[in-house]
Amino acid sequence: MCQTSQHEHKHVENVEVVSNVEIAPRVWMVVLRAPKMAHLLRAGQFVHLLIDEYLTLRRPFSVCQIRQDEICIMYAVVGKGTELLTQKKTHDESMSVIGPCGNSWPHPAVGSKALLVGGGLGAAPLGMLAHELFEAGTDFHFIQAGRTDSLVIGRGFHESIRRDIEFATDDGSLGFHGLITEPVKNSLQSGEYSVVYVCGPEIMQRAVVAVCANFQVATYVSLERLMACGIGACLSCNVATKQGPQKVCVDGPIFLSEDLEFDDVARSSIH
Amino acid sequence: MTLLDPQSINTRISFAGLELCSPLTVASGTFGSGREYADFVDLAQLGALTTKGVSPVAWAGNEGARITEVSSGMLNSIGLQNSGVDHFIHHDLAWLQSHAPEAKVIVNVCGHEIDEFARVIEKLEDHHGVGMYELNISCPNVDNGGMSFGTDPKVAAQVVERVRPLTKKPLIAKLTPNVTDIAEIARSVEAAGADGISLINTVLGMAIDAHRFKPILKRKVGGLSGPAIKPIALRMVHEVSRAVSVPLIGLGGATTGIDVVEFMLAGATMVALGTANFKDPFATDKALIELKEFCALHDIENVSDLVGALKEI
Repeated sequence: MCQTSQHEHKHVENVEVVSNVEIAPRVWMVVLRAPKMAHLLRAGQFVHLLIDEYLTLRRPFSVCQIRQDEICIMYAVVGKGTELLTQKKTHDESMSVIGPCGNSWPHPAVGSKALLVGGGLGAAPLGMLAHELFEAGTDFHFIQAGRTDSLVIGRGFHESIRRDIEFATDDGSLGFHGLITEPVKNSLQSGEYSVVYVCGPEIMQRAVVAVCANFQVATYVSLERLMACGIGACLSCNVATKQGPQKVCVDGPIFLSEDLEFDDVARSSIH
Repeated sequence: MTLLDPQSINTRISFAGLELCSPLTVASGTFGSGREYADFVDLAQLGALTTKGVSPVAWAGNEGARITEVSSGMLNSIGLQNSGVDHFIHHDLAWLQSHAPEAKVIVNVCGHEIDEFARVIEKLEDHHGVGMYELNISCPNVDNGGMSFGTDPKVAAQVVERVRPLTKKPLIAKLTPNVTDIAEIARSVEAAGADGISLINTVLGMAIDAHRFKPILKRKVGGLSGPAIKPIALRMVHEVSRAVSVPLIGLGGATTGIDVVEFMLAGATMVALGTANFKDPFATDKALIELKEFCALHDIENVSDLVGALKEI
């Protein structure tokens, strides 16, 4: 298995809002016209968006889909920045983005099969990975979970990846009734997977990593941290790894789970 | 009257005996060691590049959330995380020497004890590419050292006196605003041999998450930076400029070229952009263009003429 893929040469691009709609309770999707960024971004990377000139800091967002010159971002409304983002109107709003930021998910070796495990909004960037794997002809299975069916946000991804997605919900309103770890365990018992890609709330990622450890399968997690610069300078997004302190913004956001000191991850996660 | 061409403005300044191409620098900790911004900024075009804080050995920095945005600014609690002076020499300084040999470098030096400042400077002294040292006696985010050195005029002077014999390069003392009388601290470090003073470091602040009944930062307090602190910084630069004769680096919320002008009028010879770099990695380039346009508009041929040129109302 190759290590996570590093990319260089970030740039700043002024992007135009193509659409911006609420797709689930408190979850929105904004589509930005960003011709240069769209052609450089790889699944797992993020963009650092200046939502409003009156904010002091940019906000990092993962990308869930590329459509020619456009990038699609699913976001939960969690604070002042994302509240302001919901107010951006189509075509008359321009924003500055820095990107592509961070590393991307490495693709598995030819002929091997991947398991994609997305919890809540974490399914969004995995949607882009699923599309990349589909285009590359790599076999994979995609499991998504959420608290309830309306919060399983990547249900529509099956169209572009032309395969069924397996679901799990806490309340049983869609797919398996219970935690995502159960269908993950069931899949891994087949022994056909060589790599697992997981993205979602950190507590869910930790639980999935614990399951994967029993099957000795390489597992990549995707971490989220508050960050100021997004380009490796400010050290806000520090994470402890077995190789020493690393930065989520440039060394991540994708990490091989066995490289992380997960106790530290729990302490410093976003609440 | 014919307006001056902004391109004809002389932006050169001299600071503590060094000739620099512009009065602009960056605030320590906001610009890495320059390498992180090399995709965006020509480092040699900065008057000087101020590095992150460097300690004798690696420091892990603080646990928990390290930043939070507040009105017109941000709080940070990084805790001077760095890989130590040896790593800095072999990675950061070596990179700068091969990729931006023209850049003038100010190395920010920190320590938990007074002797630790000396250990860093002793290791750096023989290496080319270090233009000046900035003594960090003002960081609010570490338990030992940091701000505690800079709040007592005697201790602040002791740090400068300890390292003064170790170098002929300019020594700058970076002061904290979290004191009652910053002019007294400034006079004290000047008397101890500082060649320049930079001010202000961040303002001690706090943010609370009401819904969780908890402070946002694990250490409860952090350093406030950004436009929110600019009026405090301008006041202190003005006050200190009247108390000492060494040149000043003004910083604290400076974002635009007009902000740079304001700090220079208040008495700063150089001005550092800090938090502004996070929002706009081109902030220093833009500020320099705006500074030249301002000078052209006001018929000022030499940017250095702005220093201390504040008039009475």
